[in-house]
Amino acid sequence: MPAPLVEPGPELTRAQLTRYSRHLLVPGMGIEAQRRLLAARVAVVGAGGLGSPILAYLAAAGVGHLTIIDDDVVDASNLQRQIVHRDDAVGSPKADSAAAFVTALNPDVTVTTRRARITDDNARSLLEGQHLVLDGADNFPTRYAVADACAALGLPVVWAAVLRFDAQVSSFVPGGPDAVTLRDLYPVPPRPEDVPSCAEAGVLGALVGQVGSIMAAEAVKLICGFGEPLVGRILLIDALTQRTREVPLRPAPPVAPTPIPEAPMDLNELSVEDVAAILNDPARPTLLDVREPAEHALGTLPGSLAVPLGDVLSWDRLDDNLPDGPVIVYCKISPRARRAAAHLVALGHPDVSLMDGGMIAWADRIDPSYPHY
Amino acid sequence: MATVRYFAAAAEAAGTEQEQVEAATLGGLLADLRGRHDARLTRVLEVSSILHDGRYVSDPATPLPDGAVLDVLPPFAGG
Repeated sequence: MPAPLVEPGPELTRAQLTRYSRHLLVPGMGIEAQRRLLAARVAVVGAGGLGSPILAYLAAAGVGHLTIIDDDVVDASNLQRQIVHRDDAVGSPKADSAAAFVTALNPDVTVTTRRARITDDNARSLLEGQHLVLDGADNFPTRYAVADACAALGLPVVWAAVLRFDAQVSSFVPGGPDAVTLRDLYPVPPRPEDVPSCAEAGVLGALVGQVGSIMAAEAVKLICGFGEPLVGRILLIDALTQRTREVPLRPAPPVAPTPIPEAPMDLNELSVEDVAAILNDPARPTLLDVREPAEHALGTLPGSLAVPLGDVLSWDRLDDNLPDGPVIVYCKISPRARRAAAHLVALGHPDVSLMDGGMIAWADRIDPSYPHY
Repeated sequence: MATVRYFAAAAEAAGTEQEQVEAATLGGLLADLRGRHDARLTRVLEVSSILHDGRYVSDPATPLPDGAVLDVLPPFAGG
């Protein structure tokens, strides 16, 4: 059984004995565990899909001091899963919207908001003084910054990531020879274009509820020191089959390979206006849309050849795959198109261009009938 | 004989959640997988972490004892 992270705070009031009674009744929790929760200082990174259930359950449980760190504003496309944000919060800062939810749910909880994006430069100062951090960010740079800062500060991190129907969950608790962090699981930070985001690939809304709830349960266990936390093991959830598996995680060998950063390739870049001007020209270059089929269904440029990035990257020759002549590659924004274009150049294609800004720029500047997604 | 367990996009690309492979080294195992599966799995293997009994491995010369268990975990960061 792990040692509790937090010393018990003051005696519970009569109102608190009632409010938290269902936790007080649980064998192994009781009044002392509740006093620990009320004294706990917990930072939640990301007030999004995972952050929503985390904040809801930690606030309801009476975790006394919650710090919400998020630099984003609520977008309509968040509402399918980010349940602390309401329809009328679209356009407001997520940290503020989430804080309003927490305060309305439980006035015992003190909320601090930090409208900031965690980077290597600010991570330590943003996370210092907490007992525990929950990482529900949506990108790898933030996640590595959180992992490294917490390792340096000696702070435990409850970590999870989700995509489509899949989730990975673990708790990284420092100290001891077997302690692991995100860098033991993924020593080499993946290139952004190699890792699909929820914005590109989608995610099942209820899955983030399930996973964020697991994270909240892990946080309560670590704060109070009961049960067996997800330490040294990764829980893998497949919502499609509703099967879970578990793999062990041990420290990575000390010399992890460092990736050689790829020199940014000098690609010919076209604006959406450039492409619009030649769209109806029968002699125009081949338009190659490298988004996923579900994205094509939301709208694509007429006459495009639609081949998802993964398939383009599996090409080992240009013949049979592309018509002869110049090609313009595009995606939702640009990273996948850049990766695909680089692959075509590597295969020896003499004339590859990129439509900068992708379909989102097209929707903004050329044809507003295309949806934002 | 080693057991390879696939997760998320790796399971999708491999078309299975688990398979047995005869290989003495990590490099031999990866070559076998690339030879028997299509290019999608090769792509996923390039970006995934491979854990041997819980420990990250990348050196193709890594020996695989009989009964080794390797987990193929593709990275994602959605939250």
